[in-house]
Amino acid sequence: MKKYLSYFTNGILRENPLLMLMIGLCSALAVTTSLANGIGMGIAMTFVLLMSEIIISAFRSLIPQSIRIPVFIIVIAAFTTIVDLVMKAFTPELSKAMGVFIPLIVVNCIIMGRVESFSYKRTITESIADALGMGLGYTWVLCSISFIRELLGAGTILGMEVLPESIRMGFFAQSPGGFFVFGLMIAVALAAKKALERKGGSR
Amino acid sequence: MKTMLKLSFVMGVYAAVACLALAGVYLLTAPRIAAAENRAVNETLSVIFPDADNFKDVSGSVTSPGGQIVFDGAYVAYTGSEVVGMVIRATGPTYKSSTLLVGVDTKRTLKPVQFMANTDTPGLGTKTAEPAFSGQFTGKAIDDAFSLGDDLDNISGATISSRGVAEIVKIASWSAGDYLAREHGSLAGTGDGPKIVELAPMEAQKALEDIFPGSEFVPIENLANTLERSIVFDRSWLVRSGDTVVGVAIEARGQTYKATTAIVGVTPDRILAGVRITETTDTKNYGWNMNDPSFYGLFTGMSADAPFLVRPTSADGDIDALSGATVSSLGFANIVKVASLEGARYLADNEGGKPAPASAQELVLNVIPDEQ
Repeated sequence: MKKYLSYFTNGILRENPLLMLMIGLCSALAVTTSLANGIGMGIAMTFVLLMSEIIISAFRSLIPQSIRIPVFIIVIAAFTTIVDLVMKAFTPELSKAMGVFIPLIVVNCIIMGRVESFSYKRTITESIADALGMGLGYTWVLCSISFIRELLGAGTILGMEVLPESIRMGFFAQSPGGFFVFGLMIAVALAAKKALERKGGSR
Repeated sequence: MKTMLKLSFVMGVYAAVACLALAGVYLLTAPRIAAAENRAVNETLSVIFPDADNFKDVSGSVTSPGGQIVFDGAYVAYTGSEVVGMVIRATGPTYKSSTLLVGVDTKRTLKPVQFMANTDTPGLGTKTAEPAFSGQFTGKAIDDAFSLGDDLDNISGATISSRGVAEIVKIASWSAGDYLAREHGSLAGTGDGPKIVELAPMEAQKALEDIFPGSEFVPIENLANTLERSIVFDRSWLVRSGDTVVGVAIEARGQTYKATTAIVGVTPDRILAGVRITETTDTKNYGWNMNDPSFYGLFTGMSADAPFLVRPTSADGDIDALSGATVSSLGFANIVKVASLEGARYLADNEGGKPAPASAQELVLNVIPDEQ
């Protein structure tokens, strides 16, 4: 049980895909202009990651080593398309707001990376723990960035107005603001990781 | 061979299973997606015409008058059996592109314009969707000029977006008003409606015939630019009508905002027969507007010995700069000046054309500022 917990917590900070491994960044910077986008993208990506890891892990003995990459791509692409269709059907507003970035989950390197380096070699339960951890790690970072950017850039939280127009900074709604917030988050996360390591000894 | 077959088979199986799964999900979601899209359209249509209780899709029967603006849909709004207006869904270039729902009532006034999509720069071009800008259209008569700075306010920092949106609204609303007048006997418009001018450079042959209609063009080999190094003569022609020489045409290339090639025609009397642009890499919507006949037409009939200085850069110049494209205008005037002087000189030296006046001054060109 402890093993699964460690796999799960791994993605949240210690090996957080965005803040530590620094992969899958383009979608993270592009869609995080509003909190709703951040939540939606996080859930969509977590779903694709979870399903792909489960399938790959379940069929790992049936996927020949030499053609594993194309098979991974088929599996990931299929789930991405499913998410895309489902979002269009049930949350058309959100789907429109995220535009091309939902289909682009298919080339998100977090998914390819976890499938290749983790679930192709591990059991289903381990893969589930890993996928949930990584997905949650991705989602919380996305939500934090988008929360800050939406609050400072547009003065709203989930579309509700909280800051008056006079102190909003349009800068945060644009790409430079995204890089800026993201850079600060990396700094904070590294500091937090160091503090944790000092407390927890050699781990 | 055996492994190859086996691998292909395995790949095939995975692909087939994935296809089946996708087909299933597609079949399950397709009706919902169509319904959601329909609902989204209908909801926005109801915002435009709150009193209407029925919208008839007439998308096939209204098409954009041309240009880069496309109509994606058209709906006639009814209250009971009475036509109350029409909505056109139009997509066109703004800074990137915008999709708008433009509603017009039977009295040729605009209903609130709705943005369906806008891919312009967030915080700048996307401000066109905010009430401060888009609200200006509400209640506006579609026969108005839709000219930014006159009857519409610009968004500072987003001129191209503002202009693009105004253009889409103008074209779509005019088409809607036209349709209502034609099909449902609503008020007809005054004037000709917006013109779509596709500005583009001309083919060299067409340009020559445009400047010197019905003439023969004999290539000249030895006409070179001796005045100014930065402007290059690509080709030149002696223009004849029967046995008489009616002029010289020179294709000259030089710096404008980027670069422009133009054919300049001069008569033996040292008068410009015309100027046509055959190629330009200047910016769309700005320097590109040199292709507008109302700009290059200014040069027709000018003397080859005119100063060709551009206002307002030269306070006492004789040519007005194209609005928003001063640098392009400066460079273009230089090209015309050098080519026309050389053309007139060639005619004077070889074909008995009028010589340069004694009062001819030193060559003064427009100074193109360095890039900031």
